[in-house]
Amino acid sequence: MRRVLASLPRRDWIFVLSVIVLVLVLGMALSARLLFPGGPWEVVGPPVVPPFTKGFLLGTDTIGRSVLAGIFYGARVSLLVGIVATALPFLLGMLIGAIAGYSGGLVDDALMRLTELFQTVPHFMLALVLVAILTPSITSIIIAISVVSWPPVARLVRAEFLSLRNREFVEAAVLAGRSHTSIVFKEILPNALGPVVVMASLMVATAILLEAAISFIGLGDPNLMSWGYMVGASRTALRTAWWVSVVPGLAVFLTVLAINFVGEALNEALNPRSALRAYK
Amino acid sequence: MRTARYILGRILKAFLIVLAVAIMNFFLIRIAPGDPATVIAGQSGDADAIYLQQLRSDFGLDEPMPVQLGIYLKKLAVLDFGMSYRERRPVSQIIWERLPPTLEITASAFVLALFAGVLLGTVAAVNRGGVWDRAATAFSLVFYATPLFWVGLLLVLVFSVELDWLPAFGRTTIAGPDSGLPTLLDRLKHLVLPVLTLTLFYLALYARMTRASMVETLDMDFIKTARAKGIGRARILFVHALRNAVLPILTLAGVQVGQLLSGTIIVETIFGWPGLGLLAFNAVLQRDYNTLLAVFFVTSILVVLANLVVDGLYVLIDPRTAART
Repeated sequence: MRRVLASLPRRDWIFVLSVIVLVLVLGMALSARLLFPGGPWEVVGPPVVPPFTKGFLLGTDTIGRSVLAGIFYGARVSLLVGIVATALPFLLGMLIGAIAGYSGGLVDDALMRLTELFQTVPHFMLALVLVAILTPSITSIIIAISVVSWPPVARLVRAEFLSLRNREFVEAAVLAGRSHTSIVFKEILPNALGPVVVMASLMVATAILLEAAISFIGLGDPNLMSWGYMVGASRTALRTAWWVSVVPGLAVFLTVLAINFVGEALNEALNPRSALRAYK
Repeated sequence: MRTARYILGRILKAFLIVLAVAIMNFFLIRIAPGDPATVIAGQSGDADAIYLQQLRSDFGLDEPMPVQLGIYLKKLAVLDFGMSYRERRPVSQIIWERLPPTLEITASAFVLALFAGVLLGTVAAVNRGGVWDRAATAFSLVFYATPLFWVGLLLVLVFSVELDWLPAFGRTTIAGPDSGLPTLLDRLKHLVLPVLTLTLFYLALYARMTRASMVETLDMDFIKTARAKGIGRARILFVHALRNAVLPILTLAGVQVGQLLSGTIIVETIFGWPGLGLLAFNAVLQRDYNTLLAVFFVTSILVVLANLVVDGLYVLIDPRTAART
């Protein structure tokens, strides 16, 4: 861990800037309740106040809610979805990939066909169907994103397992009479983690984009303010209040961009030789 | 012979995937809240009792699960998706109407993104580390991180609201010119913004991929041989290198067709483009699960077909493919 941290590009200004952006987003998420105790839905002033007006840094929307408060509360949803909707499919994909790669044969075949099926169907479409059917809520959104994003992890973990399974150190463990679980978790998995961790950072970005798109369509959690919802709800007022759509979109963009940059730096630190290859 | 067997194998696999999606659809209807009959009727709650009873017997909803599945699959096999309660006509009829506009923007965006992406990626790979490379990489990273809906709205803001150059809504001007060149121009003008929105994201993706693939290919021995033989630079690049580098890009393009079709939900919603995406959006708003699932099924078939085309192209570009599998 320390070695990875040490090899991160501390002097690269884009990397530094990306980390600052992410820290800011985290700060907004944590301080939203403190700074805007009234919540993001509270009407705080006249409608359609342009940005940089005194008292309204980012202006208000068509019914007088503060855009700044929305951005702060939206950060909570984006981060929550980004983290949970990455962790779940990550674990699921690892499990499926590990079982497939370790057992081989029929089990491998069946699991890989299932993976292919989920990779073929249009992701966003399936996610929308799932959220619509399970009724929109933060839970259903996270489930939907998880269902569509585990396959690449499974494939990658399986490939790593296939190549590691026949190495000497694994054979040694088998000969030593260790159990399957012990071999999988203590021998193979730690060696397969590098490329998978890089993939996880990209999955966070994808999860945030997916949540934003789902909320934009109008299937967001009705009780939570999200960046995608803000853009979607105000897009018809683009001519009169452009900032209400533009600012939350910018927030999504900067967050995702920052995550991608950090992910790339991680990639170069963890897999120096295969930089960019794990992108598929 | 080998090629024929390869192609047949692919077709069989495509068929199995479509079957799996159909089964997935069947179970999705059943996890929806409430009676499956009301789900199939669309507009949950509004359907009248006689209609629901008819649906129940149509879909055999009182029969055991396997029988229900059989009936459902038989209906899907002839593309019978039931009725749209909202529009009071068969869902399949609506889908046929909505298919051409969607194909229009996705095909345009696909071709544009592929050509421009491959070109950009190649230029970047050739000038590795140079200004062009960094510009192309920056461009890809930026558009790879941009939410589709935001690109669309920004384009509307700039080109429709501010500059008033291009229309931001619909496929044609209502009561606009109705024949000849003016109609064509009107249609083209309406195409620009939605297609551009879809293109920018995939362009970024293909450019990244092409760069990575080209960089690798250009380091291979056969390129050095070609150079030593005195073959021209352009010929080496576009005939020798690209033919090898293009395979992974093709695979990616095939995989991404589904995401491209998904993207139409966002783009068609923003631009009021009367295709499958807008149909899905409206189905979502009206909780018309039946239509939504039909759109999901049809787009999945389109993805499978696109992947079949990719498999075919693969054999054409690299005949060894059939031998390997």
